[in-house]
Amino acid sequence: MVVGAGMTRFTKSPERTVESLGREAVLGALGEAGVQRDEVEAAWCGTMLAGAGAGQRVLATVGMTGIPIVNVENACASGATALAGAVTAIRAGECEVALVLGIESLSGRGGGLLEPDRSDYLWQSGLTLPAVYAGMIRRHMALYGSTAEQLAQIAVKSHRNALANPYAHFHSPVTVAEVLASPRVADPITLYMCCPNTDGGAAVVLMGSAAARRRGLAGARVAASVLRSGRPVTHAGDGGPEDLMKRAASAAYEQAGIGPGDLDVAEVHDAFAPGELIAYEALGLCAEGEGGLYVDSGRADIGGEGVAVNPDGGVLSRGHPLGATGVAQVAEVFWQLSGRAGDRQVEGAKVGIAHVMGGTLFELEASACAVHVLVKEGDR
Amino acid sequence: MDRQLIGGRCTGCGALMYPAPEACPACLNDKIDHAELASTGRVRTSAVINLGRAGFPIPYFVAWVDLDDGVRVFGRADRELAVGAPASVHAGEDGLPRFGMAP
Repeated sequence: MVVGAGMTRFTKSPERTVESLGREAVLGALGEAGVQRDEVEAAWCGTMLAGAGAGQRVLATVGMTGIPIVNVENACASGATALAGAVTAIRAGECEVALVLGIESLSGRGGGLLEPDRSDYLWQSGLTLPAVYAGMIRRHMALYGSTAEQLAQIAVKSHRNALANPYAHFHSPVTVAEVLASPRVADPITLYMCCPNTDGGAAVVLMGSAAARRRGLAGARVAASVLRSGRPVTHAGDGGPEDLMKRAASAAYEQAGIGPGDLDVAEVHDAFAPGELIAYEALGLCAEGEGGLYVDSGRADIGGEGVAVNPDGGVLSRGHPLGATGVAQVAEVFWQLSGRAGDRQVEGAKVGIAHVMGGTLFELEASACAVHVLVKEGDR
Repeated sequence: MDRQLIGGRCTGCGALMYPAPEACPACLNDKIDHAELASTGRVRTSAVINLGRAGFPIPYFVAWVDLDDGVRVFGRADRELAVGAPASVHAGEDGLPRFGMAP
């Protein structure tokens, strides 16, 4: 069960170290959970670029080293992968109280495109990560008639939702026209359809269900924790990132014993707006090809007729401190399920899903996809 | 005259691949022959890159093409290619795939 969460404001804060960001998130999560530092038995830390020993560097600032600390890298899915590791350990009975942390400091590296080290030929040929998403959505537009305007609506919803999220990077509403007129990145993707480079930390406290009940703690049960890596997309007939998403989501629904119709809230990977549109379909919120209609009809809105998607602004407006994102998604789902989401609360939310992608290898569908399903404790 | 794109064919299982790997990921055989790849294919999808990288004058065009011999390759195109369109494929000076309109 997730019993507490904490995060920093996600913003550009180059003057802050990852240790400072991580410390704030850790203390916030422990405080919310009412768990003492010396009760944490193991910790997992997800980051892509913070360097060796990131978990130890953070936890040393709060006197928490000595316990097992696992540092996890899975590109943008690092934080969720860290969570998956902690879930596995608790399910196996290895520990009862675990801390999961995600951190990233990007703004000190300059803005613009992230260029991780790679030698694959697609990178050498000029591929960029936004272009991967552009390729995905251009195919979707050709096959199903989705539009740039629908992508812009995703950005508009994201910015609108983020107004009620004090932790979000952006607190600035945008219009469809403004989104479409913003600088082109990879047609039809414009700048306002892309997440910013952000610094931040997020943490959750995970507890075995029996231990949580002994302490009388409410929370959100982890009904599914699924991690998959991408298969090669090197031959005709191979798919794309959406296929990895479908396989991971399918396994998560099976593990949780639910279907997409049971969801109230979803945090999906919208580092680029097309990612969210594709996720509506890949997570089964709507039929294949209908992702554009899903957002167009308002189904993805808070209070809409479908599943509220990215009620906190998502990656796009909340910001993307890479390793922190997967943990921040789960924090938001936890807050939604425990009625702590303030003005962005999805009424009566009981079941939520968090989905994140990570990718630095372009010969695969993606590097990784992690899907977690949380259920408000007390509900079956 | 455009140069043919060169990939690899596994001498163990016959798999055709681009780029030619050091060893076959399917059967693990490490004897990979050079193989000329098909010079035509169909566009799976494409992209126009407006915000690019150092050394790539913007905008530039890229595509993922499923070659007629079954290999999928990625590379720069000389124009924006439509999803599903036929395309021609050859090797650039750097040996990397380049696409154009089908002949």
